[in-house]
Amino acid sequence: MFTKKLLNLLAATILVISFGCDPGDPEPHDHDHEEELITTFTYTLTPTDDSPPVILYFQDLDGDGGEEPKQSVTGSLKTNTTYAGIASLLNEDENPAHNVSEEVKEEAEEHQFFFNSSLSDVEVTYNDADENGNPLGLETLLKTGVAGAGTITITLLHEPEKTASGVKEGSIDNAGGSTDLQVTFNIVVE
Amino acid sequence: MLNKFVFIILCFFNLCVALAQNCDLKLAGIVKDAGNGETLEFVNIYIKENSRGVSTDGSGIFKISNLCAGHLHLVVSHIGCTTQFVHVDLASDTALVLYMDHSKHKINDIIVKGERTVEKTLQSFETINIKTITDNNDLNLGSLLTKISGVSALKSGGGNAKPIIHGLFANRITILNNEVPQAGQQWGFDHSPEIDPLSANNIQVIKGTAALAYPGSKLGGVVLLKPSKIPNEPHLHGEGKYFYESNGLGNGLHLKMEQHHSKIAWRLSGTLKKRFDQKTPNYFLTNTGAQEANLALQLEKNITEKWFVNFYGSTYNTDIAILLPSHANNFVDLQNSIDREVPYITEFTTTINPPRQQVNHHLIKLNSKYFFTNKNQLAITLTGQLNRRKEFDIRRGGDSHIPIINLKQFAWLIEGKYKHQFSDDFTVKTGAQLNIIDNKSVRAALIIPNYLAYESGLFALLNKGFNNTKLELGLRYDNVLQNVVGLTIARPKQVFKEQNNFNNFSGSFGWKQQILENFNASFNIGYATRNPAINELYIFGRVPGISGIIEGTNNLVSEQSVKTTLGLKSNFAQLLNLEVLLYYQHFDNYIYYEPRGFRLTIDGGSFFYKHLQTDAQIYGLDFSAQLKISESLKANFTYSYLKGDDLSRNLPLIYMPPNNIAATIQYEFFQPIKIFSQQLENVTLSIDDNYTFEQTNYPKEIDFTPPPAAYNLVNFKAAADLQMNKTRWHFTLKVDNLFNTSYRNYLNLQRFFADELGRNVVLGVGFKF
Repeated sequence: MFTKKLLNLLAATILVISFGCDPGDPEPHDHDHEEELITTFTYTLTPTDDSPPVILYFQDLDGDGGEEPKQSVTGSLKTNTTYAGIASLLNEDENPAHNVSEEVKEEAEEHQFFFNSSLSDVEVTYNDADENGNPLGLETLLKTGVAGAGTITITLLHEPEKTASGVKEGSIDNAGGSTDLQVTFNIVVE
Repeated sequence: MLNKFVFIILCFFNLCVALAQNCDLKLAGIVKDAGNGETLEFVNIYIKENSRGVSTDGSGIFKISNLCAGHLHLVVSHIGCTTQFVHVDLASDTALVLYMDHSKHKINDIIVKGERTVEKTLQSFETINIKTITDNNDLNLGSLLTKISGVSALKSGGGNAKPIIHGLFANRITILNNEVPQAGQQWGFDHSPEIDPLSANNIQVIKGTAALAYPGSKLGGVVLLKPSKIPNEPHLHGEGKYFYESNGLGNGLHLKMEQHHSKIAWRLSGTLKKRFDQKTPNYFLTNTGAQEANLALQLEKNITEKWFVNFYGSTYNTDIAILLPSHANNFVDLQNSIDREVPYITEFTTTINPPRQQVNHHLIKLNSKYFFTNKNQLAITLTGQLNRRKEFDIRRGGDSHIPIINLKQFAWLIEGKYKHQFSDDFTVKTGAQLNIIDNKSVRAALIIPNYLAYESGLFALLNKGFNNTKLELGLRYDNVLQNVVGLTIARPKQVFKEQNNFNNFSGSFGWKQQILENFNASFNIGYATRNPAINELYIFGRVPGISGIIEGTNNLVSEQSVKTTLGLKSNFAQLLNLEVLLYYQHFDNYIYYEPRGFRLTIDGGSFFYKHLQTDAQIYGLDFSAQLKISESLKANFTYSYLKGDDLSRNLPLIYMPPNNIAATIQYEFFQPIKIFSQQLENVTLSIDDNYTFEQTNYPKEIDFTPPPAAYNLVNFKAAADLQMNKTRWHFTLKVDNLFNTSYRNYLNLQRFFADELGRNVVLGVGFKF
């Protein structure tokens, strides 16, 4: 009786196990639930005069993977010129590409761009704001001064402390938060 | 194990002569030290039914007369001993012999020596008893285990702690909850074992390479948690414990009920815990709250005299908030956090927000033991475990409620064990297991691929004793088959399928020699191979708490290890105990991970970690001394030293626990203290001092910050018992980090971001009826 009961139990267990026996193919494009990727960043600088725009471009299609990202800057900036800057974020891993800038715009209060250049004459000011009147930075004005070569680092922070000292003026030092995007470009002003 | 007391009571029933006068019965007894058999004076015996109490005299004898026939519940308490509860069904004059664990107690109530343990082994082991478990009911399992020398914890803030035994953790440690190998995502450095320590009566750590009778890694130590057998007594009994902790304004409640009913013996226990943000000496740790809800059911039945069946079911459910300032996405965030004295946000919050972990672990176990004779027995066990782990991060687009990691694991174990005792000192145990693990990511990114693993194993253990010598020999073979389905790292992501087949061999030899009456030595050598785990082969992504991208390595091979331990124990006139454990472990193809530079990504880039292999060695010693200055005053001293070397590169091993010295002094009042009409018993005061050295042995070019400075922590504890009618109350007051010292811990993943906890005052009240 004892062995019979045990055998029944064993059979029941094996039955239960065999239901879960296939590890199953994962869905490669389960995008609703995977962390939203930003693959592509473009910062388009359109001068107030008729000269051609300067485009700063960064693309990393494999996210955290080991492939080197693609990065480019078209041409150089002119001295003593004001440019209208438009930042754009895409997720090109999706087809069609997903416009992440829209999402950032919708959550403007939780986001802010920061622009830091090694060239002291390059100055970026915010040209947009969130609902509270605090800067966002999808739209900016970039002013150049004397000639020089250096870098510009563009950072998008998620949940920064916008009210902390200097943050509204574009200083990242006290902003805290976490980094959604941070890219550095070499720029030439001539 | 048959309850000793009940056994003795039954013996005496047969011998006693019935003098069936209704209320004219006598109960007498003698109380002895379980360690050396000497009689114990001043043991208090209290009868719940009539609130009468007596003490033992100089020869350890107590006598109570004019008792009525019927059930009696005795509370037996003594200085330095765990209070015992004894049930007597009094029908005639009765004599009892009671044993109390006495001389074998370490000062901090962790029993080190003694044969009355969960697992009989010649391996070096230490045990945490029920008193220590319940007096520290504010701690999780990993933190509780650090009370044992040679055991430390890999922490991730205040909420998560993984045990490290002699420098090894995660995949190399086997945790046995009620003899079931704990399944789940044990590989994760910020994944705590999903076990409520309050469900156990006894927690044992085996430091050598033991547990050949169980599936899992044989390279590192073993943690065994075991609930006690339900005491053989017919009445409903229960206990409750409540605590309040000042740091985090936490509350916890644990309740337990049990009865050895004539139809079935049962025990039901549950735990609820909740706390808010914790605090360092100087600031709050934003988002470090936690909550927990657990339930366990234990059933036991003797179907026939030879057939014993038991069931165990438990559910463990927790939500743990992860320190908000530790949410560092990229290299610059991490650098900023390291440079900051105080995190950028130090607000006190009462909710659990992302980043957070939500973990559920459910276990069922059915065990059937059949005794053919009292020399041989067969045990068959079926267990099932379901583990759910969800990790939530701060996400854009209002998606923070969708987990970034969402793992579901079923683990099934079928096991048969046969034990044959050929003679009193020769026993053979043998058995086989099939362990099936089905692991899936549920609609979330694959941090590790989906897999279905079959682990089948066979083992045999031989125990042989001669006069003063005991020998132990064990062999085990395991076959591990992993069916893996994952996604490629390169985008667009493609499905890949792989099948891995590994063979693991392990063996151990133990020898214990009683050299002098008060001096013994034990030597153990163990060999084991361990196949690379799924995470070591395939993990890819950013793991919260590590602040970087971590990648598995596809071509890892099995690691092999030899560990030797030599334990020496001596005792001087029951006043001084000395114990030293020396160990040396050598590895071929030791698997580890370390920072391998910087990877540029669109969010500024991260440190990049890779799993690697090397030849390595870990060696060290655990030393402990217990001094009994008087019956009331005891002192305890422990020292742990450990060094790990990467032999191929001639560098120190990364993430090894720093050395540690601890000293405790305890005073227990010999006689009860009278407060009004009540008597406070077992009044104990203790203070301990823990000094942790700075880890100077680390690979300097590889780790990105040096380990934190040395620190000293002082803790205080007071405890007392109070018997009121049928209920025994237990009060505790603990102050951890008494001097509110600021420090950081090398083995805390959050050491880059914030200090450790400041002072914590914990008040506890327990009752037992």
